[in-house]
Amino acid sequence: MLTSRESKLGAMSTADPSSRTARRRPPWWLWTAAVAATVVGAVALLGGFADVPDRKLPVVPRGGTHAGGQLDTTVARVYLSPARPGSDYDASADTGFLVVEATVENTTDLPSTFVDDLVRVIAGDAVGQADSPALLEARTGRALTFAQPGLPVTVLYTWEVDTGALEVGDTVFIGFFEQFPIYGDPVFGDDAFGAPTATARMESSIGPAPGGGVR
Amino acid sequence: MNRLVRVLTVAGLLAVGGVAIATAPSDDTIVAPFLVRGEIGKPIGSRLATVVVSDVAAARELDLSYAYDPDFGEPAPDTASAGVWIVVSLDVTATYTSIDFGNAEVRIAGVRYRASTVLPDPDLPTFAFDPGVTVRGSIVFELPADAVRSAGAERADLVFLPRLVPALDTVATVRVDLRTLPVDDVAVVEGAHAVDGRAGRDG
Repeated sequence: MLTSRESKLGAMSTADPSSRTARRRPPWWLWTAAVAATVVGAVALLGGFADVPDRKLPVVPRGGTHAGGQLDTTVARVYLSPARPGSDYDASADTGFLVVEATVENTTDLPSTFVDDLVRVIAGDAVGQADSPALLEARTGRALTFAQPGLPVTVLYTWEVDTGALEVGDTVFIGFFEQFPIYGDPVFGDDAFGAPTATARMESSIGPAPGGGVR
Repeated sequence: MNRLVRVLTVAGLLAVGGVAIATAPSDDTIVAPFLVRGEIGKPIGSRLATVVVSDVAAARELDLSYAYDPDFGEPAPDTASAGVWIVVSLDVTATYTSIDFGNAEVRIAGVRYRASTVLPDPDLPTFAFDPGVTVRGSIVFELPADAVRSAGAERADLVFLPRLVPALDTVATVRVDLRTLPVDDVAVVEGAHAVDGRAGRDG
C-alpha cells in the first residue's frame, strides 16, 4: 500500500519529460530582466550614462600652423584697424575693425571655398563665434572667395566693432574650423560636406595696427 | 548536392555584386561634362558658347591699366605673385543663354586651378555673355610656380566651364604647354568688351 507521498513521486517519475522541462523553464519576466541587466551592465562597462565630458580643443601655439583637412592656417597677427581693411578710408568715428591676419594654404587638388568659414573668434562681448567676418586678400584688398591649391595666400578676416569695445592687449580666442565630407547624400552625392566644426583653438592678444596707431 | 549548389550560387552572386559595386563609376563620373578639345586660334564650339583662344601668356605681375588710370583715382592693386599668372586672351560668343566663365579652370595632372577674382570690372570672368554678342577679354589664373614647372604642365588643359558643375554638357577645352611658356615680368590684361561679329571672325 503506497502512501500518498509515494504515489505522487511515482507519478512524477513516470511523467512526460517535456512537461518537466516546461516546468523548469524560467518565466518570461526573468528573461526580460536578464536581458535588461545585460544591457545595463554593458553600458555601465562602457562608461555608463554619465554625460560625455567636455573635451577641450587642441591648442595651436601662437605662430604655429593649424593643419586642417583642406587648409593649413597660420595666424600672423591680430590687430585693431581704424580704417576699413582693403581701403584707405577710415571707418566712422564710432567703429573700427578687428583683423586676424593669416596665411592659408590649400592642401587639396581643388579650389577651396571653405576659407570663408575657416576662422571665427571670440573677443569679449564685441565679437562672438556666430559673427561672420568679411574676408579679404591682403595683397590686393579684394574679396577672396576661394583658396587655390598649393598657393599660400595672406588673408584678412575682419569684424566691424564699436570703438572702445576692444583695446590693444585684450585677449582673443581664435577657433579653427573644418568641414567633413558626407558620403551618399541624396542630393549632392559624395560632394556634400557637413556643418563647419571647430577642431582647434588659439589664444592671442590684440596688437597694434601695422604701420600705424590704434584709436 | 543541392545545398552545395545553392551555397555556390549565393556566393557567386555576392561576388558579382561586389565587383559591380567596386567598379561602378562615381556620381561625378556619370554626369561629367564632355570636353570639346580645340586649338589656339580656332573656334571651339560647345552647347552654350563658342570660344576662340587667341593667346596664352605667363607673367609674375599683371598690368591692369584697363581699369586703373595711373594719374587719377585709386591705384591698381598689387598683383606681384609668388607663383605665376597665366593670362588667357579669348573671344566668347554665348549661343542662346547668358553665361559667364567665372568657373573656368586650368587643370594640371588632376589638380584644378580656378580663374582668379583679382580682376576689376569690366573683367571677363564675371562678364555675362549675352547670346550672339562676341566678347573679348582676358581670364587670369594664379598658379604655384612648382605647378607650372612640373612635368604635367606640358599637357595643361584650359577648361571653360560655363558653370561650376556643367553636368553632361559640352565644355570648350584647349590643351597648352605651360612648362615651356616664357614667364614675363608683366602681362597686360584686357578688360572685357563686346566686339562685332561672332567668335572666330575677328571684329
